[in-house]
Amino acid sequence: MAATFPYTHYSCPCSDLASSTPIITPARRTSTAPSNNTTDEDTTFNSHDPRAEYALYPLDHLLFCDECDAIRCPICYGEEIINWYCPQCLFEVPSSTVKADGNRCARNCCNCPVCTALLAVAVMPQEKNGSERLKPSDAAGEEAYLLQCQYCDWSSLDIGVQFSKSTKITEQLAKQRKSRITSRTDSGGDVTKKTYTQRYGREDAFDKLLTFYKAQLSEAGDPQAAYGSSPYGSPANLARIMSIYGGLSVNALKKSREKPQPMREAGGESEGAVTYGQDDKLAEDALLQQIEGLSWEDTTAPEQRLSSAHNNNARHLDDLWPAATPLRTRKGRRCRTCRQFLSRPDPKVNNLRYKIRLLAQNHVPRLSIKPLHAPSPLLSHPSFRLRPTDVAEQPTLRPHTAYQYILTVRNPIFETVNITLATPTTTPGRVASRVTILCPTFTVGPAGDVWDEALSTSTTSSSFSTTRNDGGRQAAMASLTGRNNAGISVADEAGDRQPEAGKVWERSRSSTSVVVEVVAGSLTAGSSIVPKTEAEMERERLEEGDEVLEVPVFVRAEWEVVEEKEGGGEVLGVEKRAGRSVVSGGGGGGGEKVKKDVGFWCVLGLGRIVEGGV
Amino acid sequence: MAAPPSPSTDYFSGRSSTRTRPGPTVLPPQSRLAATPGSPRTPLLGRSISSQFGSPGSFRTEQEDLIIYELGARHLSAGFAGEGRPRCILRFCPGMGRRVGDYRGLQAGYKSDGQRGSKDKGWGEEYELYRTDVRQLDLGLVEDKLERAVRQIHADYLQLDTKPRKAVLAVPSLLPTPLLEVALKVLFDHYTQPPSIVILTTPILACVSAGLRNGLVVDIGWEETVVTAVGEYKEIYQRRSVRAGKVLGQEMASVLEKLVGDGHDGRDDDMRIPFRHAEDIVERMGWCRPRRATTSDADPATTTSKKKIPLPTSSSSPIEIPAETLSNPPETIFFAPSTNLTDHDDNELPLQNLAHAVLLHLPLDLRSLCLSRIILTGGVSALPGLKQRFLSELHALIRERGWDPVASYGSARAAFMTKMEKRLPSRTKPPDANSPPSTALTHSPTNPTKRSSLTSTADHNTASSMPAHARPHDDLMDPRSLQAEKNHAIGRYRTEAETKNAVRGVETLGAWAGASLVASLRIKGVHEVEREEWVKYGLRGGGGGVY
Ligand SMILES: [Zn+2]
Ligand SMILES: [Zn+2]
Ligand SMILES: [Zn+2]
Ligand SMILES: [Zn+2]
Repeated sequence: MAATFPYTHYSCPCSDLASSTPIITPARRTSTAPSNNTTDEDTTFNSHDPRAEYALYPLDHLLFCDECDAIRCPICYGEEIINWYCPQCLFEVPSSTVKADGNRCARNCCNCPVCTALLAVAVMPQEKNGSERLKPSDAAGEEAYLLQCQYCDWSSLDIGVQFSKSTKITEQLAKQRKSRITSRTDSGGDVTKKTYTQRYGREDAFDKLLTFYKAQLSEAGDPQAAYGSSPYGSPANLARIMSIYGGLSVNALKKSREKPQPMREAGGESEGAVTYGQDDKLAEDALLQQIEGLSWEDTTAPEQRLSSAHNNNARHLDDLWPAATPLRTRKGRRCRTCRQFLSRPDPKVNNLRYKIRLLAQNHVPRLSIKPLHAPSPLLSHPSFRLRPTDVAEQPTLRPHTAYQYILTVRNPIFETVNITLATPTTTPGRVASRVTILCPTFTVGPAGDVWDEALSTSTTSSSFSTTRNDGGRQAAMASLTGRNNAGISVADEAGDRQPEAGKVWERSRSSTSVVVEVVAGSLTAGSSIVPKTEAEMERERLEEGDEVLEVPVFVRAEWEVVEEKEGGGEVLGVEKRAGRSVVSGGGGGGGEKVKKDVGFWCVLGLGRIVEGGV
Repeated sequence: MAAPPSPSTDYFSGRSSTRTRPGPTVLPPQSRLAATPGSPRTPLLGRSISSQFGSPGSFRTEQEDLIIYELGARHLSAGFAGEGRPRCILRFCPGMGRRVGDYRGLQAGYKSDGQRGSKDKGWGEEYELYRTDVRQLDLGLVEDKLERAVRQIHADYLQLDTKPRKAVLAVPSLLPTPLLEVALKVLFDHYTQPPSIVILTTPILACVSAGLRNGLVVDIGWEETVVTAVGEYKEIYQRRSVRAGKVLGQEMASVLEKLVGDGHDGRDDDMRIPFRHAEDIVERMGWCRPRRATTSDADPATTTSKKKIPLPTSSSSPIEIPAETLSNPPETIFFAPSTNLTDHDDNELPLQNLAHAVLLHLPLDLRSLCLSRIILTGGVSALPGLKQRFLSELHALIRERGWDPVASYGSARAAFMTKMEKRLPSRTKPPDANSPPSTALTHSPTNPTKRSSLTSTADHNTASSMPAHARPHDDLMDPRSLQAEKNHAIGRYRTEAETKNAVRGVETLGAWAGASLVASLRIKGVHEVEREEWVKYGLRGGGGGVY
């Protein structure tokens, strides 16, 4: 449920929720009665189902496959990474090094571990220079650098880190961390080392364990078969590694090779095993001391801990380690049915254009809804709401009150489209509101270029008469709208006109509007419809979002396409927009008419129902 | 919601569809007939890991990345085999369940869903992916959540090219089959198209990443604490208790609410501490105080400091809470010192009793191995002081009760004790574990069978039904060889004196790291689900998820 009403969300037909399509009776021209196409309860898309949150998208998030003639959502298209780049320095990272760098920028970009803002590399203030712990390679006169957060005053000095040069910060950071980990294993009782043990205690345990297990496996026999291709396969390597990590001597290793032995367990810290006893006075004291010094401000929030792998175990702010900026990717998207690219960016990083981009909004009718008597039509558009206060002015609906809305269907393709709308008489969910679409079946004219459209909306009648169109559409228009419709300028007359059943409200070149009547349901009576069950109490309670009035509408669009059998240029008439104005259905010498259709559920969010007293 | 039948994938085949939970011991399906689930089994000593997992030709090229997923009720973590840490840990939260294009969460002053959700739904329900009670669960919703999480992980963290990669999935043991099926479906359906998925269970992986073959894995998770005895990388026996992270958070909230409520007047609704905040307090400020000896020797080990904790409910300044109070919830939830054992339901045993019960069920030699290899894992185990406290509680319990399966003899107690004293002088020394296991073996009333015969029959059973690559060495089957094997191993395990019979904990790197180890060592898992089989059989009746 998005923040701004009214909205339209589309569901991809691949969703389980949307897979049920209502049986639409071809209700063309039987339009006198308020012909709401009643659908069964269980075939209705229930927008209050928690799963609906995963099935609904704004139209601009959806793609369209022109081979399959279907909407494609993130679930039914696959992604293919074209390139990796750092969002800060825009450096493109070659695919071979992406994984080794941990999918993070390997240059200078680091994020603040406290507030995630970008860290800046700054020159160290001179007077501090001597006192801090420097790497021995640093000459005394050289400048030192530090990382500093521009937003929250965190700096790398907080964790005692500074840099000898201002480039390759990521690499220097990694080196310093590594040296801390190894330095703690040196026998030394001074305070910094002790804290290092606390902070980075288990960081190298994994590598030790891995080495240990590899050694054990090779000892256990058939090293050739087990990992012939591993670098540890050769005895020389193994001996070297074993001597580094203080395992068995080479001779002992050879001896134990003679007979396959069960793998033993890791023993001692050198092999990655750390033990603790049950009555450890030292540990108790340390614990109490730790608790004594604990304060809320010094502890880390979950977001900080999850920001990077280094920080997963960090409990204190001091333990947080800056993380290099994660890489972003540019992806191509393929239809998972036919494997064709639905969208494909230009491979050059700094080129933002797309080579292929089959957006759903260029193929699927766009629905928009607004109140019939809107106070200020300009402000009602979400794009014009700049401040949160604008957003806060949500339309509220009162129970048992009838509201009228104008539902506009805009056609993006160059064919005339027959639209059939179906909606349940009452909205699904705990609050049942009555919905009536006054004219559920109509046609929408083809899209033209932008100027045509602009002209046609201002002077409705003239554009209609000049539009070359097939007879069927004109006849339909005449029967649906009546004669007087064409001459009316809506902006003036909207207040006086009464919506009529079966009549199109307004029609422009490539869009048609119809009126929808909604009687908001009651928040309290809603539950009485539900048959009483043992979970009665549970059901009567409203959850967040239940009071939002959302109308599910099933949209079916049908059109005809002239498909050219031979000749290379265009295979399908609809999809390629390039340079085409209007395809007239009657024409076409060598072509063949092909019927196409698209059907999908969408959800119209109208507002919140608020009980009278509140 | 009954489990949809999923007949012939390897992993599922042994299970009837009426049971949503399979037996605890994970064995290849053929051996399932021989093994009654849940009955204690002697570990098969002396089996080399290569014969257990590996078959010739099971190795893969070094270049190939395996993707490791660890699935829990609250999180999904993912990364690459051979790395010590997952690339990302994704926690499930209500914000992830928003519609695409809904950015309310980013808006300043937006009141989070959790506040209301925690009232209307179960505690923390919106923050969990699933509950183990699958009857109440909308599996479709779980699938949607998981699908989105996997997609996010791949887009933001793994960022792989399109080459198909095998995957390893670490799941809690006894993950309900429908949930496992959903997880497999999501992973197989993802566009990275893994050719196969190896399924491993977390207790064994925790053992692996502690560097151990045997151990008592105490997994203090979200919904339940699971104590598993692992012998030779097999789950031998398992018990669970509801005393875990979920109730801990709830208790913390109620303790604090009470504290706040005392200060002000009880406007009840205003005082509620939302789930998220309660959990935050547990994670940041919670701790577990050391065990107080029952004999009150002047206890210096207390803190009197007070902590300031901001509360979202009292809009004013943060409140002051004694540090001692913050250690109360773990105390009452996990160790329940004030309640009598007989008051406990079977599924809410305090942790030390739970561990004791598991140890009681073990054959003696494994018990002594486990006793010195206690592995605490799971999200809550990071609570400062908890590991130490658990060990001392367990130690005290063993000292008090020994290895007597009967918890209370009531009036018969005295008679029994004198009888036992006469018959078994060694038994009356309460910490029985001090005596070497070989002597205890012959005396112990808890050991139903002679160990050697038990071992060999178990060996026969499994050997005949196991596939060749999983079979233990044939030459190790006679008791004498086993003994020789064991003697040989003495020096190779830890020095016996320090390890054998003392209660001792071993740190683990957790299940994810364990899976990463297993996968990077190219050990072939027992449960590998092939994509083809999955597509053919795994989805029967379950809606076309294959695109
Ligand atoms: Zn889709
Ligand atoms: Zn960068
Ligand atoms: Zn910062
Ligand atoms: Zn396609």
